[in-house]
Amino acid sequence: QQRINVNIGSSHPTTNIWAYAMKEVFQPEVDRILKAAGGKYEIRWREAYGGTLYKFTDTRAAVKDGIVDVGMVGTLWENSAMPLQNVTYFTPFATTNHELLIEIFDKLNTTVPALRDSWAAQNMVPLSSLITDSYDIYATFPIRTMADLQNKKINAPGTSANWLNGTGATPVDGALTTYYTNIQTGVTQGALSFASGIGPARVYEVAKHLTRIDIGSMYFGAVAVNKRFFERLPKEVQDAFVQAGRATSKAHGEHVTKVANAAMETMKAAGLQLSDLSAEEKQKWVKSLPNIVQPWLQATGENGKAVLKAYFDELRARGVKPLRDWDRENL
Amino acid sequence: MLVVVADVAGRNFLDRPITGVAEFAARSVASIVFLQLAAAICSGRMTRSDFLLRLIGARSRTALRVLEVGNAALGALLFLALAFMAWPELAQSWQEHEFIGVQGVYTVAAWPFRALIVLGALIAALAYALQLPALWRGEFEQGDPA
Amino acid sequence: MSDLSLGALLIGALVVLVLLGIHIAVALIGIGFIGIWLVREDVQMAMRLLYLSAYNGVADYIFATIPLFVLMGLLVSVSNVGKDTFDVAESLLRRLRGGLGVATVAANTVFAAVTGVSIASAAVFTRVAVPEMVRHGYRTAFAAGTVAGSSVLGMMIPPSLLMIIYGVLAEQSIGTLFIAGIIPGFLLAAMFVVTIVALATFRPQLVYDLRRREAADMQRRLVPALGSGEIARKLVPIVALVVLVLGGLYTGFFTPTEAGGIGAFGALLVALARRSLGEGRMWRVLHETGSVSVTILILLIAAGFYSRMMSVAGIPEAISALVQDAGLGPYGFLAIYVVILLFLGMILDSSSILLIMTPVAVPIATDLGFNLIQFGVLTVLAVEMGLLTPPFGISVFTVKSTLNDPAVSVESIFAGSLPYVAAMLLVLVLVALFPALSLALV
Ligand code: NA
Ligand code: NA
Repeated sequence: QQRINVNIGSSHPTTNIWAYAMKEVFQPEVDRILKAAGGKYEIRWREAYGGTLYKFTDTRAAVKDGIVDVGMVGTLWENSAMPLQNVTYFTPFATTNHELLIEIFDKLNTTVPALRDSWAAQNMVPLSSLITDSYDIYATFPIRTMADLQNKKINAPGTSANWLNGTGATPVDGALTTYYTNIQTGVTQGALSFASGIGPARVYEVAKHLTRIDIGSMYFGAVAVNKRFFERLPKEVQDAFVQAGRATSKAHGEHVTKVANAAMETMKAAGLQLSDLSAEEKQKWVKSLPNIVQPWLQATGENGKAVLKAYFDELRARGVKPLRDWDRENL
Repeated sequence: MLVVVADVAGRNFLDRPITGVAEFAARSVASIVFLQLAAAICSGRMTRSDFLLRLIGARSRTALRVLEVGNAALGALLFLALAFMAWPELAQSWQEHEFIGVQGVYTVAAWPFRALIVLGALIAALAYALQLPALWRGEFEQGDPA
Repeated sequence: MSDLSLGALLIGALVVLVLLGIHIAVALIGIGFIGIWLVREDVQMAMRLLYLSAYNGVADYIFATIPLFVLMGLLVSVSNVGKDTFDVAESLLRRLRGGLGVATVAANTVFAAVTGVSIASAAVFTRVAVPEMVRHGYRTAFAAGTVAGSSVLGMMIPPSLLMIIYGVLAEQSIGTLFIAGIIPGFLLAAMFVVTIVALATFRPQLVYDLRRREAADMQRRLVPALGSGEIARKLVPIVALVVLVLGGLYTGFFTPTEAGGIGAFGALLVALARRSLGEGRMWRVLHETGSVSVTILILLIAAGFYSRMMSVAGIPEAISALVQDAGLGPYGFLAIYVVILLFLGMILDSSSILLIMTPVAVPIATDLGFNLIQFGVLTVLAVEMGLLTPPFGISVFTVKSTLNDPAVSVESIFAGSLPYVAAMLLVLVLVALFPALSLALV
């Protein structure tokens, strides 16, 4: 029997939706597969979850440089080094089905050369896709018409600031940890967020109204393995990693569904008022958005075009009708 | 300060915040730390506990000098290692046009921030190294060693 | 070698280096570097992690505002606003032993409602309160210790960065945690006041430099008590500043992190109005802000790197196994937990401790039937004591950096804040024994 040391870790604790399946599914699944195959290899996991080893700013560097061998990589925070992975954030109103999004990206990461190479260029092999459930607006007021958003300040950090473009609302920077105080003190009147994330942050205590906008699920990143480390592993262990990665994808999707539903129940029980933005008003929003994918396409060139096309092709092949055809508009 | 005030004013009076203020301010401060480091080292303002040092100094000047020299040598080595590690990161940042921010919202080139770390760490290492001869001769012993 | 014994060795090495007078940032980085190198058997890894700590360690808006709080403190001090405020306090609290110490605690309590970070409180009040207390005959170490000690109120009275971190990690309501912190926060302030008055009464030699005190007393008898007009005039600027910052915060004009920027701006206006920035003083204030901030921030970077080494060496895991295997009842567990927090508080920064311990302790606390809000208040209290305990006590270091007085050593400030650590321990025990203290308002 041969023992292999694997350093595994994340910038977030395992209670977080993105790190959860690494500890609860990926690790035991690798162990199980290797044992079932005759127990020739055994993994000795060295865990560094919860940001004790590196912070969210360094998820890419951590896996790339081998600070951990396997880690959660938030490509959302890597607009500069890994822009291709962020296609979903530049093409909102595509799909609210996060389990579908996992399926699509598990596929795209291996079939689209540009995407595959961009992982390889960062000395990483993606094993399992990570996503968010659909973004909506949690606010101190319900949104019945687009006019309700006029002159409101909404927490919308990073790329999501784009989604408020043309709505009359002002995006304000922030993070899950700042929304609560921001809204409580009136710095903002709401936040763009998703149930599984905003539930634990308790924002519903200060923002009593959830308006379903269906901005959509977003691709967040991947559980990835350091490429150099991966290539030195015995074939049998490599296969176990890949296979466990697929199981992790599935479990991650189901877990997010479960967490999002549970969060929704908790929030409703605590008095959260739900409403849907009408189809008409949603259309107004979608139409009023400028061509926000344009600057991203300019920055990513041919690779970006290929990824955008492949992504929307996969969406439509699965029967999704995106509210805006970002691909046809630009390609 | 002015940027923060401008951001607050912009957000509240013009409904137009300066996006990226938080990120830009954070990056700037993180880099400026290294630029100012050498000054803190030269003026002896690096935080230390000199309780035992004073006791030792009263008994043995040589021991005190060894400790002072060891401190400065260790500091010089560590900051040199940091500069050494920071250099390739700077080169890569420059080559790949690394930026902070989001395409279409705001983007700021990242290399100046990385350059400040290389520069700051080098000067800090130099500041420690240049103190070595004087410390060895015991020139700082009269006043306060810190 | 087991993880725990290696950890003990690395911690021991840090303590020795710090005691030998190695610059604390250098000691933290040095031990961190060697620890990672040894554990991973890879010097490159140590260098990479050092670089990540250097580049991203303080690249957070919360840290970016530290210089602004320092600037605010310096401006308040250079424009004599601080001096005026303490003149008024001295005049009003003449009869009370330790009156200015009490005034410092009271001022810190008000300021705590503005800031969520204790370093900010320490940076502001070192320049405002210490010179005044010294002028009125207090021992410098006691004055500095009082500022460091009462700075912990910044994270006990809402808003509080530590409570936000705990709330997110333990999935507890941050608003409820804030409210739960109010009574313990004021209790802590009251306990500080009692401590000061008791020390001033029964151990005046610890509080006052008796010779200078006599001189100050003599002078004071010559100066009549301030008239109400004079009091009003001296208080206008500080009241305006407090109203600006508190009012802006609670009407939603800006966030607690931005309060430093606005506070500094307000202080700048006051200083300009009082014409206190001429003759190169503005330049000196800016220069001083830079030097003070850099010594605080480099410590935060170094501490961050050191705690990464602890993680590489598997210390958090080993400690959590220790706690889980202990198999104790609720109070036994709580005692061990607090001891571990206090121990970690000696060597790590507060957010790292929370990140390491909360995910481990919360499930156990839940099983043992603790109310997680009360548990959170206890956790934050215990973690905050670490701000004041050697060898790594960031509040004490902040006071030392801001004071920049070679005659006041780090150890003397640690010693000066010891009574406040004791008071905190007492409040911790009270909050543990009487759940109502944290849960009554919830
Ligand atoms: Na506070
Ligand atoms: Na401490």
